[in-house]
Amino acid sequence: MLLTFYILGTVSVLSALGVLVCRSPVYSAMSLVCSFFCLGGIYILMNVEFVAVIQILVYAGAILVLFLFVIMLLNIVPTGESVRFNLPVLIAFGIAVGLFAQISGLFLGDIQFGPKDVYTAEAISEEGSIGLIGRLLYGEFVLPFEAISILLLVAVIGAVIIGKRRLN
Amino acid sequence: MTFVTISDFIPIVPELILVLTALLVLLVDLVGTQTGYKMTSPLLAIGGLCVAVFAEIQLFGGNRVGFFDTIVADQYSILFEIIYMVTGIITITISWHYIAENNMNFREYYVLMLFSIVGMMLMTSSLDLLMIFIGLEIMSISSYIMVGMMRRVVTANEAALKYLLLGAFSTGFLLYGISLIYGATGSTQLPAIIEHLQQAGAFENPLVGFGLALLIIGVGFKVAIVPFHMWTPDVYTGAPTPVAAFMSAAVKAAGFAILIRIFLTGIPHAERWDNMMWVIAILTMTVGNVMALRQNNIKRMLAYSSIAHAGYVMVAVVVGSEAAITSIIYYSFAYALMGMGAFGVLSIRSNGKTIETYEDLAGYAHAGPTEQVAAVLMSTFMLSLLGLPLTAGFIGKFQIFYAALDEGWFWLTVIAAMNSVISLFYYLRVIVFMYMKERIGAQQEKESQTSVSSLFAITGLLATAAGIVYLGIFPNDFVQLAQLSVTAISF
Amino acid sequence: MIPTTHVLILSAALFSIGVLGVMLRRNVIVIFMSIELMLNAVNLSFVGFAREMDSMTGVIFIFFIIVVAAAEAVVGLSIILSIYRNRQTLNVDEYNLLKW
Repeated sequence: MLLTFYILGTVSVLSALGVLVCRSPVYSAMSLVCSFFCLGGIYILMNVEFVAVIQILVYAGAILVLFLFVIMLLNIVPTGESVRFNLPVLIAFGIAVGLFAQISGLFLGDIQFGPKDVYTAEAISEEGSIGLIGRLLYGEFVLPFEAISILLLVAVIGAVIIGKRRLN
Repeated sequence: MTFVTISDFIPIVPELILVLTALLVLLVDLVGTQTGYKMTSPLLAIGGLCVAVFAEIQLFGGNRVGFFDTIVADQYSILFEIIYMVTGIITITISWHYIAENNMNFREYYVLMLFSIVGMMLMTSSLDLLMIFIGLEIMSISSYIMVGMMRRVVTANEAALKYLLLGAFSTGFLLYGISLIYGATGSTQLPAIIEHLQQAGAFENPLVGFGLALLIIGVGFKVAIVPFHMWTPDVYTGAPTPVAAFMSAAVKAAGFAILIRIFLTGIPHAERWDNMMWVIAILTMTVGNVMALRQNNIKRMLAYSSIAHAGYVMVAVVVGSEAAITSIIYYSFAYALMGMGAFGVLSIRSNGKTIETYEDLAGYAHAGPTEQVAAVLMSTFMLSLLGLPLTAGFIGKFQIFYAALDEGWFWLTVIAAMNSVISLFYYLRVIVFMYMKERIGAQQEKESQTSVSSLFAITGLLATAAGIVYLGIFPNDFVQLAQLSVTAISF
Repeated sequence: MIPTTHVLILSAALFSIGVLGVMLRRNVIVIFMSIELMLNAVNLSFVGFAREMDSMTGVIFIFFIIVVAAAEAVVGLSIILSIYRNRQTLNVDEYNLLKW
């Protein structure tokens, strides 16, 4: 299981780098899908099946398809955008590597996690993770759950008035 | 299994009223005829906001909680929510004119503005980082859309894209910060987090410090503190002017509201933290003022001046005492009025053109009756932004400086005062151009016709100016309210 | 059991790659994809923490992050569509009517 995790992790990092390297946005998008699938696999290994399912369905299935759709709609030809190693690029690399070193150094250091909660693996498997999430969404987290519908309504309105070709 | 009961909804009654109003505006838009629409949507929106303000006043002092203690209607959140709604009402009065003049015939504009206010209110009254995040996103996504609404105008597209890209980027940092804090404390609810962080040695945990820093970056983008300010001038210039007014007033106030809620209510301050914050405060003031000096476009100047004002508020955030938090609340309200007013005057058309640069302002005060009134109003707003006595800007700055001196931040106060002196040059330049310069070129003075919509806008601006003068001469009422609300959050 | 630290380091790597992509690439759509990558890294770290602490809050949080990411993508892509119609380019360096 550990080996599977490392393989999936390596593939997801490599395909994430692929997003950056590919010239064509279509290849970038496919690379991103690959990365998302690997993360979905990792979620299954970590016993959070529900997250794995929405990761595949919503992220890979809906959001990335939307990206591909827009790319095809705009009919983009790969531009001659090439990475030159000038100063801003080096600074960007420096910031990213520094950020990674900082955060991973943090995790390798002396960290304490917060107090344990009650939802152990046994407790979850007893009720089923989807059932448990449903219970929490309609109980403790009902207000965020309702509020998110406002967000979706706003997004729909926005997509219509900005994206529509012409309004009467 | 626990369900919510009806009493859980009492603290969010104002939010519910606004959501219903927004849906109503959306429906009226659907069935309304093309001719009769002009008044209905803005008036409905203003009506809904007034009812919601009334509901807030009823809730005041009740300290009601709901939804498993994640939503509170304490004096603090109520006061801030009233500030957002007053800002919303003023924005609507100035928007109507702008929309009519610029063929921006989307009545969804009012819907989005109402939803944006709902987002701010939810995030101000929530004690859960999850709900704060969702409120922040409702607010931000509505404002991305409002900025990009005039989709044929290329600058508006560009402004919306920049705002959205940087906003989404900062959301990533905010979320990563929340996840680290969650990892260190095991909860996303502020009372539990604060309780955990108050234990001795909680800051030894590297997750806490880094998580809080990432949270600051995320919120810092929204309130535009240096070095996260780059988007502000572009977005304010490209956005429709009333939207820029709304963003500089309400969105900033909301950002500071959660900044106080997260950082100034009990999280013990490490030495390093204070050092980082005062550097940010000084940078924000200085960069804002110096860059504002160099602008020729007035909207860009106002954008940089709004950064500078965020810097003055950051001084109070650094100080962090009760008096300082009171001054933040006062200053947020005062700046909301002054900033809205200044952008509002810019949104009024004069002789068929809007004012963009200083040259366009030349001779503005002598151009016609509407312009005469508008020039007086603009001067009031500029003097208040400058911080002259008898205006709200003066009392606001005075309170911040007083609180800072009281806690022994001498040099910070001196730098802030010096920055106010720099701002003298560009604010007075506006007044000088309006009153003392002649119009360039012998243009034929068209009979400036005063439309109903511009009268509506002028009325709103008059009320704003009256508010500024009132707050400047009789600050005590509001200061007492602010003090009351500070006692509600300090634990 | 997968060590939580390794999960967290994987999430840090993905987050940094996302940040790098935002700074490096000039194509707006790819910048957007990099932001999605950052949000995914956040999701992974939430899962890691939630497993470590036997907590459900982190898992619930992901649910909301995904919805917000979807909403942001919808609005962002529609803005990209409208700007592409007016400018016929996706290179952020060419969006220079307003000084950055």
